[in-house]
Amino acid sequence: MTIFLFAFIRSLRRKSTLVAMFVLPLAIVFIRTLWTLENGRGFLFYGMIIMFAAFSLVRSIMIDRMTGTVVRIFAAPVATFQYLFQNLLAFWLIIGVQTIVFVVIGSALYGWGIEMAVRLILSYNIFAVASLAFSLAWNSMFRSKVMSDAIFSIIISLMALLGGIFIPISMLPDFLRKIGMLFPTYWLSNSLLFIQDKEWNGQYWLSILIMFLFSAAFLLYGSKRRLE
Amino acid sequence: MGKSMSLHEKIFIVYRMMGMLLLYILWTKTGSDVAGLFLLLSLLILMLFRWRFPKLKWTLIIDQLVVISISFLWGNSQYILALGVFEAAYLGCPLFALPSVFYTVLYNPEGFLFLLLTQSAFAGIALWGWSKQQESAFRNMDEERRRYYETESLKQELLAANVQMVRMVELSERSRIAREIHDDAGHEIVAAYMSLQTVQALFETDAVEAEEMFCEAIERLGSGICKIREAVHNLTPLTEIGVAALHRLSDRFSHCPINFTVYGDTSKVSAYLWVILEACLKEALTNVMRHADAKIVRATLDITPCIVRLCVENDGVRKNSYFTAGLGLRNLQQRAAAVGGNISTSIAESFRLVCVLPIL
Repeated sequence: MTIFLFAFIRSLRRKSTLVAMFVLPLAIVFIRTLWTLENGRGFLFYGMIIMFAAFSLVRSIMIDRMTGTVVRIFAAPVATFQYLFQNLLAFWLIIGVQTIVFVVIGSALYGWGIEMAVRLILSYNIFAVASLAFSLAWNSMFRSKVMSDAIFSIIISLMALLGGIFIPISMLPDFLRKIGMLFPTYWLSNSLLFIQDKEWNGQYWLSILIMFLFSAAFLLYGSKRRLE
Repeated sequence: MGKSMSLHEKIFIVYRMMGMLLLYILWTKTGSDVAGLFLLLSLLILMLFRWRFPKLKWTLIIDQLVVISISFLWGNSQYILALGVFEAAYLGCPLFALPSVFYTVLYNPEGFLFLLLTQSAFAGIALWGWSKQQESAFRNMDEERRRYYETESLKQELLAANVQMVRMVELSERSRIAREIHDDAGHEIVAAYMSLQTVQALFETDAVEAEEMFCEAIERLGSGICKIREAVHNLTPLTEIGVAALHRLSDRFSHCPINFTVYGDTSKVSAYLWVILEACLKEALTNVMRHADAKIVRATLDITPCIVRLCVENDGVRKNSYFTAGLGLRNLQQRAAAVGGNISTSIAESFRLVCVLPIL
């Protein structure tokens, strides 16, 4: 697990990651008005933070590819699968730990209860996997960092808009809602909606399943071995 | 980077993307909330899966089974079966399209779906045929290239063998000459020499016998000389070789005046070099006849202890003309290269062909 260890240490060294991982969540978790169950914008904002964190973490894989480090890594007996799996595992672990810390603090402050906390952690973690996979697929399409960032910022605002971050998904017209369904953010909103309403029905699990399918699709696309 | 995609592969991908897009539009137009999205996602995943692992073609069956099971929840999804049939036809494994065929026969035997599947099958087969054709064209090209390289290397080997053969012939000829002189003329001369030595001893004691032996010795010497003359006569070649052949070529050239001069010792040049020099002069003179409006041709043969250099110049350069080596000249260049020499041309003020060969 050498690659895993290095990816872990390397990610924690970057200031942008640290800010996205620990400063921002702590900053918003204490703003009480964001966390009322009736108008819980905070849950969705936290989802966006995960999305950005995943993108900035996966950036190191792209840097490896651009600088030719990946060629040197593959000179060793390392399979593409090992390299990607250990990197993504390290990133996921960082986000996962942060999610648990965040949910524990939130529960203590606002009394969410055990079941809701577990469901939140599950939702956020599966969304983190989908975000990591999405970032991987996204970065595999671009050769330059600037280009990738520029288009990503457009896409992410679109995803936020259609995924119910700014407008609740129930208020979207049917046509836009069906476009929004093509992004994992919609399904995060959907699952969070049912958590907030404390309705434990099939819709929650359906959202989890669809996010899982999204992760699989993005991973399949992003894991193609590319040496440049 | 991977290998670049060929056109039929691109068309294949675009066709599938179009299919997915149409399914998406159908989904947005007709109710069905989640079943349609589930279908879209599963098909996308399976498609990407086959893109990553092209050998797992049998996953096409899963595609169709997913579509068929979703079609009971959302009827319109059956139309995407066309994509499975298309892909099965393109990948050249039509048996994998059987689930779609069974479904169509059982549930929708006469209708739009049947038409759609037939159309997709034809499109797939057409693309499949195209890809096969391209494959065989590429194979033919490879084969052709391989044959070309084989011919080239064979040519080089033949040229090298040519040089070696000339040397072998020279050596065997030399040993034949040595044997002839030794066996015939040699014996006679040695015998005469021994007789003369005896005569020298006999002069004082027995003059009569000495005179007899002396005559015999002279006779033997005469016969030896005769045999040498015979051998030399037999050895002289009937065809002209060497510098004589070059002289003959220049003498017979009647297109324009030619000035052929030779400097150096022509005996140092081996036979296999003469062959090349002769071919070279012939080629140059042919080119003068065919392409140049020459007034005079100057040919010079310089022979130094290490190299022999043939230079053929003519003043008939056309204005604004450029020169590329033709087949004859390229062959000559290869032959010269095979013996370690070089042939170069220039068209600065006059057309000039220079052939330099090393004397080993």
